[in-house]
Amino acid sequence: MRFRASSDQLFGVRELVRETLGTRGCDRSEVDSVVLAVDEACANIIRHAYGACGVGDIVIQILVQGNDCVIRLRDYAQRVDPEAVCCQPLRELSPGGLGMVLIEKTMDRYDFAEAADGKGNVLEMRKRMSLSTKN
Amino acid sequence: MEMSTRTEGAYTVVELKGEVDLHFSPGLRDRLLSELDDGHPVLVDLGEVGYMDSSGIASLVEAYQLARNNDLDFGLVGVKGPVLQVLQLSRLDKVFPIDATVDERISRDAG
Repeated sequence: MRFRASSDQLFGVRELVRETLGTRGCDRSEVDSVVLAVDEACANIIRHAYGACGVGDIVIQILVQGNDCVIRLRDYAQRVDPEAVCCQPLRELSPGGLGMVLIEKTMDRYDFAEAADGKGNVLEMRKRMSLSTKN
Repeated sequence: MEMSTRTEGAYTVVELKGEVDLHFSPGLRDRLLSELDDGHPVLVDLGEVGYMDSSGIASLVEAYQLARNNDLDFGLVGVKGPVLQVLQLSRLDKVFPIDATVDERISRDAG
């Protein structure tokens, strides 16, 4: 799904993740974790990747590969330096950078990559899920 | 997200309903800081909040710090589910004063 990189779109994105993973019978707390990570990542794209220029889209892919939930977020902003997006140590009462901390704590793995066409960034996040065997 | 305020005892209770994210957290921040700037101790009722992200947490942190600087009480009530999860992941569940209900907090103050 492609959506405008604007904070008023975040609720719809969270609902999309809930509905998509809910139909797969995923554990509720695990779904909540993925929702949080997706929201935080999108917020970072809105605030930092697009930042002052403030315009652009995000494309989200939600995939289930075996027992892994894979989230890919693609933006069309300037390339970010993955080193600059590293997770800072948590400091009490200093919420700066908390978004990346939450992503790191809720997902099993995340990776930044250059988009195949060289425009923008791709963030891929993975989480092993407890998927229902019911269809 | 819906936000309303009421007075209970000495407190201004800011009650939230819905989900607190980057879109709504600036309004929450402004309301909390305004109440504290007016000298009101504040309780934030999160009993009807189903989701909060780091921007919401940042609003709460900023308000808590202002309250401490102004020697005002500030606390959270009704924390559960995904909101509790985010506070725990942020290691802030042991920093904020948290009570189950407004009445419980007021009773504790009187204790």
